[in-house]
Amino acid sequence: MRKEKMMKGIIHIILISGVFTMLLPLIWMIITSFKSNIEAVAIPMTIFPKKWDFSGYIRVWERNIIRPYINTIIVSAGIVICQLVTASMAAYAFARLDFPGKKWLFLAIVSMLMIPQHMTLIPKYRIVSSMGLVDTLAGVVVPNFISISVTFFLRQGFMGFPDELEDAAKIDGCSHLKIFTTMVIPLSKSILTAMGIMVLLFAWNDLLWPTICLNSEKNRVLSTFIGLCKGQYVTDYGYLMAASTCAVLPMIIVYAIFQKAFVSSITLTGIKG
Amino acid sequence: MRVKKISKSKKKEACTAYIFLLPLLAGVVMFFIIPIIQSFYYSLTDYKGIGSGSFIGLKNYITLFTNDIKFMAEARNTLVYVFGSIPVTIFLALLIANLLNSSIRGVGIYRVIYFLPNVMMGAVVAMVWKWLLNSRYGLLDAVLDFLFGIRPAWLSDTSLTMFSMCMISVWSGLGYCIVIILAGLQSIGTTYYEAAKIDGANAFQRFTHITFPMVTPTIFFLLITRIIAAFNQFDLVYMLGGEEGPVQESIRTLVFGIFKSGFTEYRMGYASAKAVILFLIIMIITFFQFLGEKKWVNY
Repeated sequence: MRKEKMMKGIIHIILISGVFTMLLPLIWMIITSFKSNIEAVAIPMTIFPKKWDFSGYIRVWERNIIRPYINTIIVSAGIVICQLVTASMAAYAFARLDFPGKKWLFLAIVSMLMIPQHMTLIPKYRIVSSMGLVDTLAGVVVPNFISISVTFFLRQGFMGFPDELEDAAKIDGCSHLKIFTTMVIPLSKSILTAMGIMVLLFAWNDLLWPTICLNSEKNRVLSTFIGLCKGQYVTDYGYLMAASTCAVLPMIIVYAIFQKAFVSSITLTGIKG
Repeated sequence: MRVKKISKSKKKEACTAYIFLLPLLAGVVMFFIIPIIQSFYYSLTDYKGIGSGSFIGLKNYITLFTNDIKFMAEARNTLVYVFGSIPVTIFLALLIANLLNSSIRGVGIYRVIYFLPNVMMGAVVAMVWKWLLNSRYGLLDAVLDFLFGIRPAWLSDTSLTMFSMCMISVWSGLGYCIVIILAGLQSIGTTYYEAAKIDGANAFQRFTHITFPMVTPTIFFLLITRIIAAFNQFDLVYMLGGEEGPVQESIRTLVFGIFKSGFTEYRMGYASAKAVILFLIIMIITFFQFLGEKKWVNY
């Protein structure tokens, strides 16, 4: 018994040191964001700010971070809504309806998952530009309006419903559209939330496509706003850490609220289909 | 089996199905199938972003392999990055997930914290680590200086930059792997362990004979998906490498090369050839992984 207790103690010590490693960069980011630029680079360094300084945040505000915030929210909302709508419709067809060519079509679409996403950057850019959407927020949303993986996981979820669901509904004279909107969707809230969060995280954090697609200042999103600071010799770390904190805070809050949905979205994607 | 329905309702059902599938199919054709075909085609042209470029056969590929040191560095860097970060991440995740699965208290809290870096955008992860690893004002070097009197230039000494990037990648990807492996571990029935305990197996034997074989499918899944994801790494290279110079060259990967050739030099045909190479490398590696699957994965 004593030996077991000691083992558990050791396990906790290892895990806590891991926790420390995971959290330290975040904590250091937040602490630095409250230091004045002079204190941030002071030698010898201070751990906690001697004087809590908000000038980093004031500069973030002055450089108009609100605009990227609003743009990121618009883009993320657009991508999440489009993907959930298109994916759940297609998933319903694949999971609950019969039609010629179903098996082959599904296989063909799922095999697209093997394509590395960045392979198609150049043609994608050309298509978006021929639609006249370069340097618009729509240009960020449109190439992302469908998701094969979300379709795949929703299909898995929808297949779990018993056949009686439709049989009963059909006797009542319900159309498939009605079954879909009034039964399948409301019954799938948890998986839809999990998928929505997965997509939100991608949309909020994506850097490459917005970097390519957007170039004017008014269309900046948070990731490209942070991306501007990549210059090697920027030393205004109070400002940089304040901007970083602002950019990740919403996702950390969402994570804190929907923690369970996050975990289930991941374990769901981890289970082999 | 369902009762055979009259063909009229069946026709209607198929019709509904196609309508439901329409948006997805439109997207797949427009943003997957056409771009994939075009990528192959552009790689054989000198397309520069305007017009459609003229057909030049395999010239892009010949230049890539015979006359482009940067491309060779990109390919090498990509492989070093992928194989320097993913196995370490999965190994550490396996270790931690096992500790979390040993019926201790607070598993939920640990899992929440370990996963936290995953919700942060790559650009910020890079920014924060750049600050932590700063050789003059960074926290890590201040500690190392105090303890050992050394100040490694993590992100400007080109012999260390790739190591640093792998380290950052492990930090940010660990939580995801832990959550997935832990879910795999939790689905192993306790009866196996009870039986093994009765037979007198120690903790290490239980791991090698029960736990590990039972999570091999999970590990295999992680290897396949994480390796593909690592090949697509862009954010860290873009943020840590700066505009030009030796630091960037020491960490730039193929995806970054596609971005650079395509969108800053406007050699889009050339960039497409890089994209095709990237595609082929991923295909070959994934193929060999599936080939080796039977040797160590248990279902």
